[in-house]
Amino acid sequence: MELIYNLISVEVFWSILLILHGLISVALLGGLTHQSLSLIVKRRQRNQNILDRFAGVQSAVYTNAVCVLWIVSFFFGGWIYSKYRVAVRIPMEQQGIWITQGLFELKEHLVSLGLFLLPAYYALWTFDKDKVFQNSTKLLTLTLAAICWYSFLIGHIVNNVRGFGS
Amino acid sequence: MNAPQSKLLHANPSCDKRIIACVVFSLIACIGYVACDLYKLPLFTYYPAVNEFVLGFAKLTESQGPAMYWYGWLCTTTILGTIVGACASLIKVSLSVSKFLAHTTWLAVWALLPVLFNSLNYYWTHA
Repeated sequence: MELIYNLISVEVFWSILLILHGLISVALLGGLTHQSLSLIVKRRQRNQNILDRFAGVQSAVYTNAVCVLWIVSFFFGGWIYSKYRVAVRIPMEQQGIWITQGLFELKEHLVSLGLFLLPAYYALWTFDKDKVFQNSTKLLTLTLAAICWYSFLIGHIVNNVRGFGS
Repeated sequence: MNAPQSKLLHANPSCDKRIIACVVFSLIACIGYVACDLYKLPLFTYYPAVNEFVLGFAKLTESQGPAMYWYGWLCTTTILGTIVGACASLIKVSLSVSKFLAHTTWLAVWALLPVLFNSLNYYWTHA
């Protein structure tokens, strides 16, 4: 870490990590939303409206990308979390921003549960060749998408409160 | 394979062991994570201000700054889920039971959500 801090300032380093975490999360959100919509929107003929086109994807294709992006995003998030605990949470406590903190802590819990769901998600999408578990696969994917959307929005709110450049 | 055997297999088909192992891991890890949070069971405690680790649950101290248990919960839960998942893969599970288990993974998250929300009561009542 000392070597990195000699090249760039502490603030710039954590800002780069935060931006990377955000970018990976955007990619994850896109992948999961595509996959979820393809599961819930009835497949119609192509060249319809934008929603049909957005949902008209091969859902299984996204599985590996979702797993990798969730793990990488989680890794960066977990790394930033240590800095958040000291440099963000304490000032937020001093300012009395309790609800935002609570929502953020809930996000941390939910992304952890999401991480633990990944083996089941991967196995159901990959090994269930006969589509025996189709319903549970669909509901598991929708659950992961809900967690991802909640986490993305709350992460954005916390960043607005005390994130980049603060 | 003669006809009766084939009929018997068809009547009680078993599930892919990889699916069982992964589904059980997910289920146990999700429940275990919440249990670790509620009953304070981290494998270690991390003090980010001084970059120090202490084995097990350690209280907040003035000299070391705030304590973080989240990393410790993740480790405890991963170990627990891996052991139970590996054991579950050794058991022959029928398709109907494995279907039920697969549903419990996503259901567990929604069922545990109020518990997690309640565990953060400190933040909701402080406002």
